[in-house]
Amino acid sequence: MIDAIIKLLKTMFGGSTPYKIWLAFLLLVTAVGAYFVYIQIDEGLIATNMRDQVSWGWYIANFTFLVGVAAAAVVLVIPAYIYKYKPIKDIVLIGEIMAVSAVTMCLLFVVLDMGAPEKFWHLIPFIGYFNFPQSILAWDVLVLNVYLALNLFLVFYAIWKMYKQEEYNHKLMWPFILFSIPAAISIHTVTAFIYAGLGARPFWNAAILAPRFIASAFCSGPAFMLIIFQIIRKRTTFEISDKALLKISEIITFAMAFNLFLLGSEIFKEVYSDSQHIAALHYLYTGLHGHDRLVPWIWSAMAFNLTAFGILIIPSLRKNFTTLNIACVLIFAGVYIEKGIGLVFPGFIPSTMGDIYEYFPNTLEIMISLGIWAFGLLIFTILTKIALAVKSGELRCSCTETKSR
Amino acid sequence: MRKLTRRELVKLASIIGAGVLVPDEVSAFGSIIDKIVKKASEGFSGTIGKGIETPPPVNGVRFGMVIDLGLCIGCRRCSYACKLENNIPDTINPPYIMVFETKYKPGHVMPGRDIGNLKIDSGLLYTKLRKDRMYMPVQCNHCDDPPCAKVCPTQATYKTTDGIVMMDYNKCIGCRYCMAACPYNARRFNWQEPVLLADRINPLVPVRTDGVVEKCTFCVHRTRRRGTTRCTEACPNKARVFGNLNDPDSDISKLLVSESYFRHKEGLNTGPNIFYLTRPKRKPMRWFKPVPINPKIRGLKS
Repeated sequence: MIDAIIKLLKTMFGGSTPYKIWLAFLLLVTAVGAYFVYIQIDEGLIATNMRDQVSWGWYIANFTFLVGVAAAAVVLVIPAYIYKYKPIKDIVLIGEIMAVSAVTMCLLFVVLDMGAPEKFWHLIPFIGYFNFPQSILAWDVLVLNVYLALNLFLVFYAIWKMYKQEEYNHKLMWPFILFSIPAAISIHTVTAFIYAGLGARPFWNAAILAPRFIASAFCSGPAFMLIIFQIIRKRTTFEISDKALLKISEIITFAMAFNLFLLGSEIFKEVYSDSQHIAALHYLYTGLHGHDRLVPWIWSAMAFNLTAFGILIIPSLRKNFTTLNIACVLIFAGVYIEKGIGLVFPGFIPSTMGDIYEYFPNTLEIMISLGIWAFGLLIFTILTKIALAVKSGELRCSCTETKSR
Repeated sequence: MRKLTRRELVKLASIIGAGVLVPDEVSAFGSIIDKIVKKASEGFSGTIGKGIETPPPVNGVRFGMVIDLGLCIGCRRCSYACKLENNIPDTINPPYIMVFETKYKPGHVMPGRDIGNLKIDSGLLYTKLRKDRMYMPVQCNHCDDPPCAKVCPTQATYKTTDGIVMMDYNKCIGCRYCMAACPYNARRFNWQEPVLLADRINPLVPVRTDGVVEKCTFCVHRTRRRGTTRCTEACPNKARVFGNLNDPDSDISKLLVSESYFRHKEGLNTGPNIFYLTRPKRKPMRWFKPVPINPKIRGLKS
């Protein structure tokens, strides 16, 4: 037993020098983030740039983006399990690990955004005063935790079975896998409904919000995965076929086309009808009454997405890994800005009573979010390391006799 | 004397460094742990407003308010009185009542919808009043179907039978979803530990803590004891009328029968219970001078 644990720890923290440097770097950034968390607890949320006019900021923006990344695991689950596409089935585990780390980051962001996280127990059904099914936030708490539990189970069950050198019990796995597909869609839909359900905020109160969330999530999540897969392929002996990567790049292309189409529909509706409700969109794209803090950001996001789409839509460029990687980085950055800065902030600017408070995250918020990102990547790195070690047979149960099913 | 090796030197330096640095850091860390533990135990036992009895809802009553825009002169005395009455600290700004200046005649344009043209000033002691402008106080509308209560994940905000939208501060987890949902910007968050002078605290109203949202309660501690709201009392021009909408003989019901009015952002179907009368500006103003600043209240800032 102790031997096994030592072996596990060795796999987790041992490895090549670049791997150790990477871990040390992530730990350092997490520690810096933790120091800023300490400042925030000490001073209260006043230490952030959020105020009554803009009551949600960078944390919720990151949360929204990461829900999308988490949901994107389904992009691998569907071809792997439903269509039984072999090249992707080999790598679906890493997608699920990504979902686990992304949901963990989401929960951390929400907890740090809360004014009184110590009262979280009010959110526990039957113990607290959970406002279900009235509050969409209550729904979100539910679906996120269910999704986290599902993916944790799938990841650890798969690793455990591989460790024991046993076959999966498909009858046990299958319902969980099937359920994880609607669960992935639901986490992002419910998160979109958090915004879309508010009549007070015309910028969010649009039916198109949930489909756009899904479309952009299916761009950014897989883009992130594509890059990670290439790094894994280069750094380890783990085989990831070009076929799998190219399949993912096709999915990104479709999702990006759909995302841009929905964006166009949204802009047309606002600009053509030109009602008072356009104020937030004006603030975002052109600036309102001389306030234009977000304008360069949103236009660069637009340029990133369009350039990436241009690359992806030309087959020769999509199949070339150099240009494909450029497109992936652009998409990741573009969607991060669009879903983060471009969605959450303008919902509050101008405020419901017309105040313009030009919110932008301050150093503390950026450092804390970097800390959370580093922590999430740490979870992802370590879990992936274990999974790959188990898969390649480096880490195996020393029990010689394999139980027959 | 033996020279120190490099290794020993590093060791020594690190011990000295640790001796210099650690106690402070450790004590700071300890204080944070203390703070978290204290907050957690407070949150568990629900200490906000402990010992303050909130009267139960009055039977058969539906509270509402009329604000006569023709009489409002924008002095912000309501806002100022409310601040003192409801233990609103300086760390919360604007207070529960915001007074907006608009160039429109009442009834001409639905105020608040015209985002582009409304001039916003929500400062508390704004005293430069202009005769040719209209003023519109905005606060919690105690909606019939309050979006803030609908979205609250812990039922910390709730609608009571007498029409008041109340909050249980002990259940509030500070997620601020209600602030995003409120169409009237009527909710305030305690971004930091509120600062109130002990002799300025109204014992009938709970003092809130860091990290919870708060809002106008229609002065529940007065109105449920047959009183009226503090803002109604404080208005020098009697622009506000507070009363029971269910009673056809109350002043407010009579006004709503005889006068034309609008409700703020009615299209959102939240059913606001503050009615703005669209009567023209009337001349005999009882008061037109800036509010004398009470030094005692200035002393609020510690």
